[in-house]
Amino acid sequence: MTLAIEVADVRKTYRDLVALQGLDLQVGAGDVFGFIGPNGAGKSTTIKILTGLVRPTSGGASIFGAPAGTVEARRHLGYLPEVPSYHEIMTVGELLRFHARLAGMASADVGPACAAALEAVALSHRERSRIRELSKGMQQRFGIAQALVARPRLLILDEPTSGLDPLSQKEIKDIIVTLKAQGITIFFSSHQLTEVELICDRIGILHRGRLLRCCPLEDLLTVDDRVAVGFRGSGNVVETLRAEGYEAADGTLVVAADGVDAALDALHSRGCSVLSVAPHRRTLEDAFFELVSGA
Amino acid sequence: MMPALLIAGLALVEAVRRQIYMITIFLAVLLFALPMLVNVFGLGASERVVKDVALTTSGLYGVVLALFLGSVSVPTDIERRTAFPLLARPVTRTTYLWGKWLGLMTFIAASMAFLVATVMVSSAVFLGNVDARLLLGAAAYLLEDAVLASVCLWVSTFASPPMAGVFGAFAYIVGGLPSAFVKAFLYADGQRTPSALVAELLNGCLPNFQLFHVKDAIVHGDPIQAGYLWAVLVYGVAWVLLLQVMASWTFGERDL
Repeated sequence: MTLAIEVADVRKTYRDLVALQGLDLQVGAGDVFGFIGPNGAGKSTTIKILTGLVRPTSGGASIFGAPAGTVEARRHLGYLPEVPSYHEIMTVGELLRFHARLAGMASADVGPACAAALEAVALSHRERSRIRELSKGMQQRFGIAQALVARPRLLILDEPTSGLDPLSQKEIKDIIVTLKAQGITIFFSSHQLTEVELICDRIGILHRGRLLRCCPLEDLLTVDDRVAVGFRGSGNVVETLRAEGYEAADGTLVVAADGVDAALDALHSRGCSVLSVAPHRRTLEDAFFELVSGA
Repeated sequence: MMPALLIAGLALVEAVRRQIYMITIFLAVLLFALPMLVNVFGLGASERVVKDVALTTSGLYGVVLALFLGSVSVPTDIERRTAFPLLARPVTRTTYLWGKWLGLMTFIAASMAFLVATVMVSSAVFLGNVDARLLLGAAAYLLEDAVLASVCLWVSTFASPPMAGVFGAFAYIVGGLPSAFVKAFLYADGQRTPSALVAELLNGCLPNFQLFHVKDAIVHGDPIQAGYLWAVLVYGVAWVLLLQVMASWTFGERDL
């Protein structure tokens, strides 16, 4: 597997504060990797080390095999900082062309690349607007456009939906889903666990500078090999089922895989409608709180 | 070189759109009226007065711009985080600093050229005489501004803008202290006092901004040796290079 990101035993201290304690992390090419953790966990520090804005105290990181922070590593990168800010007096088109040229694009490619990036974030109609005239959500979309403009192999997004209204959050999420479909490697940090759960293939949970878990999302969410049966019933069905030894909660019955047929019969016999039959999973939020509170 | 020019272009466009040039235009209007006023009041040696005031004004304006732009350029980019997406591009921090320096120097050069051109046109119209050596005086001031801006830019890579500005002003004053001044005011009975020693030490460590001042020779029509001008050019360029190397090192070590 080609590695897009490799972080090996990285430690970062700011005077007395230990931000990262021996972080090891690998992200494969084509992965959509969600990097989550409480405030101050070290997510932004990790991202800044990957982009070369901060140097690790010890250990090392690489981007597609090139040491992080070098010009060679940054050739593969598109980066959206946390709370991004741009030269607000410039227009969208001017600043996008500037970033494309700074990334080393040939003059002939700059125009089409800018048009494609603006198209991807639905900002083509605002090309002549100054950055300061854009709403916060639009500025965030512009941020993704500037990260995308040089057609990077790896996109690093630091809390891309932070501080946005629900509509803007959905717009950003939809953009990321589209980029994922195009096969771009995406590494993003977020506090929106539902969003991470919907988008990511793999996940890393960071707490107090340590990586608590790094695995495919499914591994984290799958609790056991049991099955959850969603149902709708009236009266005190739940109590009756519990009395018969079933693990039942509001609208959900959890049974062993070989007991699904019996459970379905039990529900039907009580006049319940079966809505879904799916592997027993927990939400990312549950998994996150369980891991962080136990750390 | 190309990325440095791109960053310089961005810095320049930003300075222009922030309308700093309005101050230049205001000063240009005053300088345009200068020869007329000097003529009206019938002062003797009108041409010398015009040249003196014009070069002094342009020189001081250049110093103020160098102190201000050199001190705020990089810290503002970092405080507003506008530097982050830029420095995540395949650009070294050294290139970024050169770009910033080139951008602000282009702005200062354009401002001074505009002021001097205004005075030359005005002198031609109202005094019927133009001294092309005004350009030489302005060029020497520009070299002084290049060194001063480099001092501020270097300090601003590890200190706040006010600190960089204050240090720049300190370097400009102390580095430009004439030895005659030190001897006249800091020596006691011809003996070197501790304060004179400190002043002389600092004076020796900092760029000597007095060397760039060829105004008096231009105003009084005295000759200026070509060798002197070349030496001053080398001296100025050497200081700019040294300060940029120091800035690259301190900025390269810094976490953003």
